[in-house]
Amino acid sequence: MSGYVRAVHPLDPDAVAAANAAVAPETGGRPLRMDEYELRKKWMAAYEAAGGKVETVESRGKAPDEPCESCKTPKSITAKIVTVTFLSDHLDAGGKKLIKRAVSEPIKVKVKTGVDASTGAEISNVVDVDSVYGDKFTEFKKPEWDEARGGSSDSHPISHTKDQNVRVKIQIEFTVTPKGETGVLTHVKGDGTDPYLTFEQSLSKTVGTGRVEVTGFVSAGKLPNFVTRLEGSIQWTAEVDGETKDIGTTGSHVIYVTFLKPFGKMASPVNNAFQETGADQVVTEDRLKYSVNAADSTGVTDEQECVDAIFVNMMKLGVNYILSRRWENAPLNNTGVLPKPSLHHYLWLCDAAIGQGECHNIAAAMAVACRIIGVQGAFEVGYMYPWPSRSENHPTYSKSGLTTSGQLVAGKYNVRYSRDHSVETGHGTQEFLGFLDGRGFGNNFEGVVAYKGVALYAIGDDIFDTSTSDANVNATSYYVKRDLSAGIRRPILDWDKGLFDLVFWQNDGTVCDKPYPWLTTPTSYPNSGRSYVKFRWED
Amino acid sequence: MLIRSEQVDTLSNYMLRSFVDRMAEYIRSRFVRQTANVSDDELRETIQRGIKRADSYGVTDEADVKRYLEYVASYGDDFDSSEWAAPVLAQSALGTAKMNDLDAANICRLSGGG
Repeated sequence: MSGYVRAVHPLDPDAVAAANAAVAPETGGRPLRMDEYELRKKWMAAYEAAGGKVETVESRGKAPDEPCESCKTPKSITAKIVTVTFLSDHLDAGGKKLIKRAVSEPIKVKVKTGVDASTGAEISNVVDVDSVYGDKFTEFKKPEWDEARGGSSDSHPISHTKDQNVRVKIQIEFTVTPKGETGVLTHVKGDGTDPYLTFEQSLSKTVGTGRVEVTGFVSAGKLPNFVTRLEGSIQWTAEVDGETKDIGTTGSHVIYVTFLKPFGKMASPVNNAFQETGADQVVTEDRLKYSVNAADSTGVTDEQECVDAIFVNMMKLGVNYILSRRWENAPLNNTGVLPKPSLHHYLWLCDAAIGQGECHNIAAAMAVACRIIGVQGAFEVGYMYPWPSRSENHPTYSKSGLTTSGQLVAGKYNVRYSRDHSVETGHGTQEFLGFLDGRGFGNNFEGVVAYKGVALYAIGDDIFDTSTSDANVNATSYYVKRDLSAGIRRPILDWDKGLFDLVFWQNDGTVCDKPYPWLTTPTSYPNSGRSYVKFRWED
Repeated sequence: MLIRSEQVDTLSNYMLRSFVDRMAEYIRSRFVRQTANVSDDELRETIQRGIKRADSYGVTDEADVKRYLEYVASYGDDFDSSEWAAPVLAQSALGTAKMNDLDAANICRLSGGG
């Protein structure tokens, strides 16, 4: 075997001091670590240069009580990789892998398909689903790849922040014969399918029969600078005693690349109001896969690319608001799901278009889907309310000329329009402005996800973020005449014309039959079987 | 020629005694200050204990045992239970690999000023 150079004992204190001084610029005076081979080499060189004696030692293969050296048989070294542990992936608060394996839960979903126009009764059908979006899980394990667990047949995924290097450690099992013989491991290389799964390290480590852990691997390249799902394998080689050995292939290694560390929570302290409080959502692989696939290749410039992508994906799945489907606190269960799911489970069912929900529910669902890929910007479940173009100066009701950021107001964010209409005999002291959807059903508001307090995402419709500073302008852009073809951020066609039929009504549902003195003729809406005295914003 | 097991044992004991003698001479010459107040018998006993302890850690080659005994001479009979040496000696690596790791651990310890 090759000689090994070491300091002669007892060590020379002056040379030790000189060696310590030599590495101090790198260590700041802290003790060296066992994995700092290069620094140790520098320490030894400085020790010798300072007059410290060194010697070369060689094993002779003879025990103290043996009469002669053992008969030499040719040395044989075999090696195989036995574990790969990722060190830079996301962990939970307990230090376990953040990504969990979902445990499916059998549920029944009552899918609402319509309303009987004559009776008003709900039309629905019941579907049996094995939901993988619930909170139940089992742990994925470290090492992610472990020969003892079956190697590639049970390789566990990781979640990892984008645009970073991947760090791993591995274990190699060596068998060196004859017994007691050793070799010197000088190089380990992992050839991955991509630079972010390619690792290389030079070292000098004497190895005998047994497991050797090699730490400190940093990938040759960074992960992509966008959200995506990656899968690849690594072919490992080790150089021992100057001979390169194939020590095995690991993988497939599945990497869910996220914008930042997954998080997210949602609670409903009061029915029909959601807040990002309470327990964190469980980051199951299925939930993460949903959002990573939806936001694939986004997040290069900023996180709003990811938000847009999640929004578009929900549109593609046909997620839209369904009246009378919502999550409320016990004992209520209007989710349409049996048994009643947790709020997180329900929101994910809405994301996947398995469950149904009113607009504020699907808005909250979008928020948790964004959070799980690390979107940090503030989300708020909010409401776009219609506003009229006229002032309440009976009987003229002149055009108000109300503006926000220089724009005439057709809608406001989170500010509901109401008026005292008791000036008309038999009318209420509080009438609210509502709008009719395309089927003639009345709506008080359009629920949205407000991103960073300004950009308004109306699920199933479009993104309203013309203004980067005034949410009321963006709410207005929802209620004015706009392009309704496919796509997002469709152009506004006319800021001075309304898109919807508008109606005044009281909270008890009583519809105002004389919104303005000159408007008294009702219009019938066959799809809803209702009639209203309606008007347009510009009327 | 047939060598009976008793003869092998005798030979082994002789070789072991011879090794202890050589190590005693070596340690006394190399570690003068540390052995100044140690009698020959005490030194031989320390070496014999060291050889047994080394064997319990899988360190059996003469050259490696000699290195182990140098640590005994430098840091005491019970250095193997110290915070820096115990984890290395408890590792599964054998013989020379373990002693090389012990050298590395010693440098790490000394580099911190300790």
